[in-house]
Amino acid sequence: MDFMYRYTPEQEEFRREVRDWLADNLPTDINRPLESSHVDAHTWEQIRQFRLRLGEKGWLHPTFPKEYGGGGLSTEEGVVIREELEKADLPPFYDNSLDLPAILVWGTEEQKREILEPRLRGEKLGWQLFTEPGAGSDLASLQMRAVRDGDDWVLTGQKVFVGGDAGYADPDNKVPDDVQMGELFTLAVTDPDAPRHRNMGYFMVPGDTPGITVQTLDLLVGQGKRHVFMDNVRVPASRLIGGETQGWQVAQTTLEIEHGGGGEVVPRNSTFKKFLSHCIESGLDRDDHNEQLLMKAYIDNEVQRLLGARNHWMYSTHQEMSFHGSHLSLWRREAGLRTADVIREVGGLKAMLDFEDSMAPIDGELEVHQRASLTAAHPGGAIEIQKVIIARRLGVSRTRERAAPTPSTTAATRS
Amino acid sequence: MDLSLSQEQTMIKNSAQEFLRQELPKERVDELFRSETGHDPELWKKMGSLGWAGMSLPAEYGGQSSDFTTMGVLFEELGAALCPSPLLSSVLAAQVVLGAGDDRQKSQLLPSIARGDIIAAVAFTEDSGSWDPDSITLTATRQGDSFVLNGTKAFVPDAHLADYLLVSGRAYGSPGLSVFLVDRTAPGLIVRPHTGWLGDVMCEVTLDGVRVPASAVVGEPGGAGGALESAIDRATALLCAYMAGGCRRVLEISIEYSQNRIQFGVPIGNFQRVQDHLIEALNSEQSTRWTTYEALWKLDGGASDAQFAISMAKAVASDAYFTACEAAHHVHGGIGVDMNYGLAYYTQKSRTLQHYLGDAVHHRKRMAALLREAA
Repeated sequence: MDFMYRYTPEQEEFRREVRDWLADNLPTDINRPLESSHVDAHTWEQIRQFRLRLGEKGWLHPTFPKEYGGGGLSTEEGVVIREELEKADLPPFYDNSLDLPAILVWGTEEQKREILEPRLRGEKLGWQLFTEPGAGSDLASLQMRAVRDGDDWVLTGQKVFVGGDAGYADPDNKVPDDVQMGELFTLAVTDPDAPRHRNMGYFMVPGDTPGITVQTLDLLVGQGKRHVFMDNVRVPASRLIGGETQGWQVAQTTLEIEHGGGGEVVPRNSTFKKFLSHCIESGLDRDDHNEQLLMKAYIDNEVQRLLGARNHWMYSTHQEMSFHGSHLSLWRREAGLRTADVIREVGGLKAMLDFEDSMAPIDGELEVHQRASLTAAHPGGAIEIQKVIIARRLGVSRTRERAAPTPSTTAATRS
Repeated sequence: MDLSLSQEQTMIKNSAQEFLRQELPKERVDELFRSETGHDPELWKKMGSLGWAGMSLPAEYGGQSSDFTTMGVLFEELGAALCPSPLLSSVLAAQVVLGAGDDRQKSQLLPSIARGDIIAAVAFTEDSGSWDPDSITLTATRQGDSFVLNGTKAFVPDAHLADYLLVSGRAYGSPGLSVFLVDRTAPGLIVRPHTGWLGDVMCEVTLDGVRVPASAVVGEPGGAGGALESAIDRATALLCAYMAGGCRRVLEISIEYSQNRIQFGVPIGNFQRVQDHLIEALNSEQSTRWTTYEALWKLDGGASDAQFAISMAKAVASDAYFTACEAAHHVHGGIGVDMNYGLAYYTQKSRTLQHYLGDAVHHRKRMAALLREAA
């Protein structure tokens, strides 16, 4: 066994290349707001320019095939890039790219060329439009309609909780809402008479298509999330991924990755670790009760790292997963909530003070974490839904299912 | 990164599974749990002939110099089968002698331990049951060429089987810990197995004026603390693997039961409240598995944070094993406490191993201390 990434001399040479390139291309003097949705117009533009440079280099999605605009690099080289980028501690600049694996698995050659390239190059952002006001945990009950009209599909309906960290809605409308500059991947009912799960298609809708309106949601954290309304939005038939009633299947590839099927290998900058250092420096840990709580949270975070490594290893070695994706997702969410509880218990009310309060520990980051851990418990399938999926994969549920195909397992089938 | 088993490890895993299937059917586990000694000399002899008792030792002492990850693979299978044996005690004792002993002690003891010919056990904990070295109070008084030992050890596994005991104590005048090699039949030494709902036969060992020669000091008087700590770390990592195996089997039988048990006309696994318990057991099994194997890997690689990783693994395993068992009892209902079914033996084991070599509180405390040191 080996729990560490080992790099060949060539890969270490590559790391130096990445470092040099980043030194020349990273935006300087960048603002790092605690809440990613608080980036200002200037920062947003800096990030956008950087994303374009990274995309041009093929390093935005380094392991995607070169022929479609990816980097064509190995897993290890992809990890090197992620590690070096993580050190730069930029505001989030990855878009929601969960449709890309689905296009790779289910798309036609033409679709891959047309849709993947601008995305892999960072020229367009991806937006996931799955959830509807009436279709959250029961996603398959979604109502958005797609009606065939000649060579087009015409979409009408409403989606909610659209957005990601990289999104930016300018409060003063000085720059256009970036949803309109993106690629919206969405599910819509193509055959209302067909049975559940076999009644919908997976569409890629250009964000600037007439008939789309966007409203910003006011959430506990992450104000970048939107409501998106579609009123007779016309997309060419070439923008349907998979068969016209195959959308649910295609979406499973997206969801498999979203639930954690790709794993995590580069640890994120963690608020908890910063809090722990703060506790050690200030002596808050020198209390038997606090010490136990802090170590429980530490372990929760470490187990999450290991489950992420497990999934990453399985993904990169083309192993078929079962419960693993949703298991990581479940752990991440539950551990995140437990960690927030520990921070509040050890840190007291100071954990609630924001960056404007001079008494706030670690520059007010704890306050954002308190809100964010709660907000993070639901997107991409709530805790309860992850448990449903795990039970199915363990083979105990009324419904049995296998993991959806991903680029990892389909590549294995081909080879 | 490669989290797969090596060819050698896969072979060990398969042969251990095969061996345990043949030699340790469920009924035999049941008999051994109910027996007075908890020990099967025939089984132990066969384990010895497979070389398992000497895996951790260098070739010069008749061992195989296996790495700890490979031994962990074996211990996982032993734990899954709930195999009772003095194997972990032997590894712990051998590691103490290897780390602190002089050449004479090593060549006297290690080859016979490696063959499984003699059983040695480490008598560390006392009345408090604590694995904190500061809790050790047994005294050793120098009298001419001898030491006289006075004190009481408690919760010592396998002391009733052991030929030799390695007893920790404090020699007068030296602040650190000392280890004494004591013959179990020495006058003044009384071994009394504890009674109750323990998962291993553990003993109270009373030393009342036990006289040992100076040559019985393993290492320098007062200078065995480091070797003890490192031996306990190694045994702890293997114990975690044993516990990971227990978690695995408990999860497996719970999944199987929930697929086959019909109530309200359907398998009970269809019920989400039952699924919640299975997922609890899955969390326990996976968190124990991966923290344990990472710790073993760090131990083998000589990583500077191996100690920390081992304590983390045991903090996880201590809580996870009994949690998995409790979840399994929820899944099983009444049948789970029927001793013929077998689940309750895992529960019994889990609640003893929760404490053996340090409970979760002890190891979390140690993690925090190590983090402060590194800060």
